[in-house]
Amino acid sequence: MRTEQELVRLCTAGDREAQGELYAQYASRLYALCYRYVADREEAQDLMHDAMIKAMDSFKSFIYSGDGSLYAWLRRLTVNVVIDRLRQMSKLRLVPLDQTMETGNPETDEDAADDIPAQVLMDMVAALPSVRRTVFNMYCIDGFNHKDIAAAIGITEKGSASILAKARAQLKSQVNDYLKRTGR
Amino acid sequence: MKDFDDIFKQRLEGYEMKLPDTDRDAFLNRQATRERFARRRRTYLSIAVGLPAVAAIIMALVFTISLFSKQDDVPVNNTQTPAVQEQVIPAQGNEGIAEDDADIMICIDGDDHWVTLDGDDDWGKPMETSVLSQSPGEEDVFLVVEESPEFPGGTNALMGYLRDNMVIPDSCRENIIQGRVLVTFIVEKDGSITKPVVVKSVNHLLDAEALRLVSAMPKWKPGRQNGQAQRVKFTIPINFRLDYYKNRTKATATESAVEDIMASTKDKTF
Repeated sequence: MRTEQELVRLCTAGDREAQGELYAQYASRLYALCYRYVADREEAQDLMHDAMIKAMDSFKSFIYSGDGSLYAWLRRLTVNVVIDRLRQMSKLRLVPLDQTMETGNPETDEDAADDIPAQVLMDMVAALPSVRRTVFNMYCIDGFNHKDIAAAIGITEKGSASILAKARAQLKSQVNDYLKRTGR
Repeated sequence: MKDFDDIFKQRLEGYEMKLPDTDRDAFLNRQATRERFARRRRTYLSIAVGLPAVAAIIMALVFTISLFSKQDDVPVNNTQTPAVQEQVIPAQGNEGIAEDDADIMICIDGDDHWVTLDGDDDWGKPMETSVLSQSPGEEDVFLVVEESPEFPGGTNALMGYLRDNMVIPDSCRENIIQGRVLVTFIVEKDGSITKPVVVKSVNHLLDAEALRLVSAMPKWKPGRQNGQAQRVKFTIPINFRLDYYKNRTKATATESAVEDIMASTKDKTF
């Protein structure tokens, strides 16, 4: 296996084999990342390709800073591609009208929740309305703050925080439902 | 709250989903085509400029020919029995969309909008279909007319209609089956809808629902050519999107349903 720097250099030079290796290493992770945002397999696949191809063009702006920095860089780039697409499709301009999510759910048993299969969690996230899904993904999983989110998708920081609260409430009731259904 | 977020963060950050086996090659082909094209970009730039002009000329020619052949007024093959109305529901896939193996790629503006043509000799093809005989003995069906057919009340009304009448089958809801179904149909001279066909399928239940929605539409305003009502082929995308997880009953129309409605006249991929 090549080092990350070498892989990047060969990919930029158009080495097909290296590009295949880049794909083998990162495609399924980036695909899952895209799916987490768009909740549609075909579209996620498309976005993942777009992101990888964009990466090929912009490898010169990649600065190696230790193992794993290539994935971190790819991940950032992919999130940007995804957000751009969502914005283009103007999916993010529509803030959901339904306001009152039931609050005051009983506390979730985090230990029991550890046993929930990742794909089930994925489906729960995928089933959020798109604005909530985007905010939740950016804030809770991909490590953006409300300021970044507000700038990226064109809402206020306050709005971002309140959408996040709704996303959490909705997910929480999903998790509790799931735990109840599976008898834990 | 931090702990709750961690349930998701720990499991989903870096989570991998399985891709179709063919996906890797598709990606590599796409990248290879791009690299090849980047080298030849300058050569094709002139073609990109010339294309609209050529297209316009071909369009004009085809239209003239069609006028002549209509004057002949002799139906071809009218000995055959009338074609049975059929609904073709192809398997999932991107029928008719030329992709990476195209011989010519033309970049129209910037890097993101590509027009692909299948081969050097096929230039006229999309144009020739602008008037096409659907089947022997039937009247011509137009793809392009001066005045497009219209849903009563316009595109927004059509979106409203689809949104209000869409019923997503429970089993699709439970299994989170969603996506975009493309349906083509013919708007007859009296505005009625015939021959709805699914051209891009998602799932047989959603396909059936899309066909139901299209068939149940009220009469359209027919398309016109030279002031005469004509039969026109039309394509609409119907987006089935689930907003809520599994057993939620409240699948609202918010953010869901339909996006960009487009006429087949504007989309040459079919």
